Amino acid sequence: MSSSVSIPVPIQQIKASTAPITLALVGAPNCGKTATFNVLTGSKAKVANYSGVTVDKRSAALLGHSNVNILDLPGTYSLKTASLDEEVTRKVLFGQMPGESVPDGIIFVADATNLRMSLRMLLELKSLGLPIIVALNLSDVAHSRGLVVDEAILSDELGVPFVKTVAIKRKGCEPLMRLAGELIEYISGSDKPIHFFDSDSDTHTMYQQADDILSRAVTSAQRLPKWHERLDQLTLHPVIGVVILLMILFVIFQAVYAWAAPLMDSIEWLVGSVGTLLMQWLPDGILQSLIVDGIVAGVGSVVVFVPQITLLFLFLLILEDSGYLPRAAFLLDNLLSKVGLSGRSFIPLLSGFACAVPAVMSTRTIPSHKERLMAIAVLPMLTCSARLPIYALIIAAVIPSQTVLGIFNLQGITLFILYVAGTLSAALVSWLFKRFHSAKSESSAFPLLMELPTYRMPNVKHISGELWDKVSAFLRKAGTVIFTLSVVLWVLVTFPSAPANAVGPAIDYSFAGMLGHLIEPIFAPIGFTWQMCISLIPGLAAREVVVAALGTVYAVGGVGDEAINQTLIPIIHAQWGLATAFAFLAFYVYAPMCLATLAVIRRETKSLKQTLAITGYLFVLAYTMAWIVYRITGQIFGF
Amino acid sequence: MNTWLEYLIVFIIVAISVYYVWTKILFKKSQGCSSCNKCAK
Repeated sequence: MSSSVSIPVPIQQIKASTAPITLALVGAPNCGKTATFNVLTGSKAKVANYSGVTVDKRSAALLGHSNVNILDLPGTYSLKTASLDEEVTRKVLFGQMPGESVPDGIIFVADATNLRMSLRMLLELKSLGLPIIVALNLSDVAHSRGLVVDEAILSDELGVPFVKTVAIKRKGCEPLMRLAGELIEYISGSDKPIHFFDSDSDTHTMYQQADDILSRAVTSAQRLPKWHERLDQLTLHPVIGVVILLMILFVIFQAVYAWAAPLMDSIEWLVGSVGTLLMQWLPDGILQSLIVDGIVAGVGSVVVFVPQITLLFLFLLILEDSGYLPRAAFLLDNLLSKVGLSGRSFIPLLSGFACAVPAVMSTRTIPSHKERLMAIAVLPMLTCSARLPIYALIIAAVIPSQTVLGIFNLQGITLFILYVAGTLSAALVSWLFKRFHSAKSESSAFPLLMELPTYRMPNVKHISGELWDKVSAFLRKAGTVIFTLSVVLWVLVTFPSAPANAVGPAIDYSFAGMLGHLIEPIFAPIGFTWQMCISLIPGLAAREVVVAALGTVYAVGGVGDEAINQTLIPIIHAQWGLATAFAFLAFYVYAPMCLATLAVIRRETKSLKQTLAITGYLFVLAYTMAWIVYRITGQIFGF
Repeated sequence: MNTWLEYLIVFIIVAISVYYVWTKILFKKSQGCSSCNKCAK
């Protein structure tokens, strides 16, 4: 598969084979760099069918070469950069990144479906004077479109070896590894003739050169299939496109509820059975209380929601892999610009539905500082997957599972409304921010230029791998963070034990009980009980811990065996009023309660003042919205 | 089960949990995001 051009190995003294070598992985956004990185290093870094997934450099050793470091860099079309992530690539290649030496060589990942842009970039990279090998990725998609690329001609014309790859399917891995081996041998034997200079050729000249080479190396014109164009006409239509997007999201939330229900019921039954069995098996005492009330009630409350989280991630991965998501970004560019954001913010905002931490980091793709800050400020309002267990718990407890208009599930509609509420609130806050800071002028200076990937059938192997990564990460979290916090919370709700002449329940005399009663007056106006106040504290570590904390608090605080034999949903159904439950949901639409998010905001904004301002406004908003919802719902349904 | 053994097991589980919460959640050493990418999972 590899071309005839190979890297000449100079007959000079060979470097010691153990000397560290760094190879930079460079290419345009969404050309498959990270998939190639995974192939070369055996890593499992996140891969997606849209640009901007890699916003920082990451590195790992080349398989079989512990002294060779592969550096995966954010995608860029040029070394003349605009955004922070592209700046990372430029700085590394020019040796301007603190703590990072100049790479010894480059593995350039070229997009076979967009060779013109890739070759222009390659011509620019050649001016760096570093040895280069090229992985001609997405060769399968190019082939399916009737493109016949002669990599031997490309190699001859450009003087660098090419190899065809389909990184996501791990095709062409062996020739690429062989070529990488040749590159390492070459580097080991060379004295690194690095000569940095800005390319003499301007962009126009380089495009002319690229066109000239392409006319000889590519023998068939690229044509998108008809269905592709027709589908784009619909999905990118300003009205029909938005309707399609809303329908897709609506169906996803319906399916999350309808399809997950049987499996959730089974897990709930299993958790209840394990609790009962352990109660019968273990003698009454402190160990039984720790395991049943602390661990099983805490961890079990969260594990119940694994099916819903799995389904939500599955749908997002299918949308991601099919190539639909960047089209949604283009579609919303116009709408987002009206609230002071742009299509550039879409991918970070979309990532916010999974987790705010990588989403805040991915705002580095936004070149405008004001727009970036605005995106960071509104990101925590988008419903991250950690909030799903909280929503799902309260919805299951207070919203009846009935069908509306014959086909729609009422619980699914409620979940959809919560997601929409968070999104609309983010848009509203952003619009207000724009009104006061007039960020429009700066945003419009950076129009959205983004390459739309081709639609493709989602790759089952890739999706199942990514899905397993996400679900196993959630389960690991349940087994570590949630497990340990449940144990610590159990200690706080169990000790000190009630005095002999105690009149109230024992939990009232515990540390957590005292703390809960202490905080209760602050949250009483929005209907929160002291048990709910306790759950807010460990929820700072991760939002889903709120559910585990409620599980432990109610299990320990229950009367006799009543709480243990019941899972959390019926307990909340019986003890919380509708107004309280809705206020709790409203609070968590806005609550900035996640230390990891606040830490990453602090790191990305490099400003404690801005971090405190974002935290403060979100908390005030959460409290105010919960108060409004509590009052209105209370007036209608009673407190 | 002996009471002292019960208390010992509880003590070990609680001690490990407190250690984990203290070192991995509350006072986790900050690390760069250059290599692990775990947060994106």
